[in-house]
Amino acid sequence: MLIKLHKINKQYGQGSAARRVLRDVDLAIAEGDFAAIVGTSGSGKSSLLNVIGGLDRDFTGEAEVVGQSLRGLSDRALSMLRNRSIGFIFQQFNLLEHLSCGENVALPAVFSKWDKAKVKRRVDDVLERVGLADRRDHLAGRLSGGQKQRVAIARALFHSPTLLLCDEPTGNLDTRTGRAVIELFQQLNDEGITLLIVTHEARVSDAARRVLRIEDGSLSEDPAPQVGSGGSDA
Amino acid sequence: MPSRLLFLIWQNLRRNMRHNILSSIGIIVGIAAFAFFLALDAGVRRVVLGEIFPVDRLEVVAPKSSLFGSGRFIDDAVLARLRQPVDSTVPAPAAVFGRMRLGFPARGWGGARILKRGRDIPFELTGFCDGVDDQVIAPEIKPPFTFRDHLADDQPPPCAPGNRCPEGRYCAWDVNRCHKPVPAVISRHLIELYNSSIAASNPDLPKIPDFLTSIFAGKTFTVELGRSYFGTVVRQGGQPIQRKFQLVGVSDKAIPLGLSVPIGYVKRWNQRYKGGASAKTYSSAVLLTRSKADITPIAAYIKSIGFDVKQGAGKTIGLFITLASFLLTLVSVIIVFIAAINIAHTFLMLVSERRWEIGLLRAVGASRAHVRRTVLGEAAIIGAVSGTVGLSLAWVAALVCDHFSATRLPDFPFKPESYFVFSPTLIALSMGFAIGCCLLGALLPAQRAAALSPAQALGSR
Repeated sequence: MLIKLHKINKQYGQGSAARRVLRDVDLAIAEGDFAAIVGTSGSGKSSLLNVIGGLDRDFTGEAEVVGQSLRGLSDRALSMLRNRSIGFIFQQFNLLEHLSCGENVALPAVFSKWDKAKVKRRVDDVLERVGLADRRDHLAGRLSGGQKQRVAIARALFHSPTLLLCDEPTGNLDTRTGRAVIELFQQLNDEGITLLIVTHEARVSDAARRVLRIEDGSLSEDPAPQVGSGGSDA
Repeated sequence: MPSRLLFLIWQNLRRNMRHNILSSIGIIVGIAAFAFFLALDAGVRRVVLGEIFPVDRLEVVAPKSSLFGSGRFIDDAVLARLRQPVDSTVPAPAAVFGRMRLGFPARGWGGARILKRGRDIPFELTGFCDGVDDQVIAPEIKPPFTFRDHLADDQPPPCAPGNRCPEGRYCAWDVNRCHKPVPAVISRHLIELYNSSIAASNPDLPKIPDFLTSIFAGKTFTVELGRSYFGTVVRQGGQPIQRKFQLVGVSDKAIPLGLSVPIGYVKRWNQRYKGGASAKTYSSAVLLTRSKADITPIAAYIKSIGFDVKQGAGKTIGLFITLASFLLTLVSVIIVFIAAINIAHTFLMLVSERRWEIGLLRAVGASRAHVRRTVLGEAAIIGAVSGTVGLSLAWVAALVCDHFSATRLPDFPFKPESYFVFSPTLIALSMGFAIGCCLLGALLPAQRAAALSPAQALGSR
């Protein structure tokens, strides 16, 4: 299993102000899976993604990602795991707008030891992969929403991760651009990359092979994916 | 630090240029003041304590504890005790030599050939002439001159009829012998006084930048031993005699105001006019130390063997310089520390503004150490740039001051070409201080940035 969660619990705040956002979550995602976690706003889906991505360590339970127990990892080892094996894609794209597309894509290389030529080659490769080879030297702040998200995907793909974690990746995109991004995800999955997408959009979850539903912090799995149902939000 | 992290730091600095410039102004001003005052301190010390009042030496005198004296005097045995202290904890001095003042009236005249008016200049030597060990000063005297007691190993030939003598000698008429002139050295104090007062007010007299090439090098003048311009005449030892003196050089071991000659001459003259005892005791002993740190233990040792250390102005002036530069440097240090607080404030604000970016960096693989290094790297670069600009400002201010001094201030003794010394140590200290204070200011913000939870930081957008 690429992701194995056992009895994950998480709460915000303490005492009477405590709010439990994850309740005894168990989850297993195999390598090559394409899973969508759906749920309403505040249901805990982003919190779950943060736990899986090692962005949030303030939880109880057992979490194993890409063969490594997140509890036992040092900050340095966890950072290396995020750098080498996990790619993140965010709803807000999170690009550094004062940098060029190429520089944004190469951001993970700041924390690895690749040489300059290898970084340049890889930047060209991934930008080509997302169809933005001609935008390498353009400032990220001047791109359209769809282009920004494709640059963010290229950045996530930079170190050829085994796992892509996407938090509402089409939330800020129009229908046509969103569809193109979903198609790109499907292609990446076909190439063997495991995808876990948090979304509240049915068009995204429809593309997934597995749909997991989260409600008040509890996770359950739909019996079968609703392929092609499209349309309304989950 | 990897070059790509430096790239990230540089990009951060570039887009926050306005903030960075504003927060670095305090550091620049503080470092400029810091470097300026320390360079001034070093420059003034060099002139005042290195040339005017040297602090690498002690003058030992016999104590004057009662109306009738202490009964102690400095003789060769005391010099030996000073050369090799009995107490092994006392550092050995670099050199010890005795000074013997002329113990009787003396006067001189000369310089008619130098002055266009053609009249000799009279000068009083009573109290302004002493004898110093040849070996101490001789190494400082450059050819063709020498500083030695010629009568110690020279049998002067008799004068020829008409008081004529071979080249380089004169007829000492009282003994009817052709003597070589008595070599005499003067101090730099005297040269400086001459340059800034006599030469400055007399167009006929050129300044002396270098003794050897000056009009005074090798010049002879007449000294009458046993008689002063105040009418006093020796009462024992016979009639006053005349001797030729020759200026052979400049030495910082010469009597500050007056002439120093080889001690053998003074011993013989004192014996003649004052009696045997005065030819065996020294008016003082000068003790050259190997380092300034040796001054205190050696001074204590001198006191312990029953002698006094003549209080030179160097110690008092050195203390005054230290105090003044301490206060001025303290002001600049306070400026830099206030600037460091400003840096801290700016960085706290920047870290707060960049929360989601820090979250993003963590997401793509930055560890806490990377985040800390990024913030501290920015602070270090601000410190390095501010330090460089501050040092440059201090240097320019020093040039302006030196130019003002050279063009607007009248000459005065020991007027330096520059009042400032920017030593490599000072430059390194200023740069280190600037970078250190910026790092200090950025430490808390860097810790806060590193401690941010990536999930919370990303969620702050």
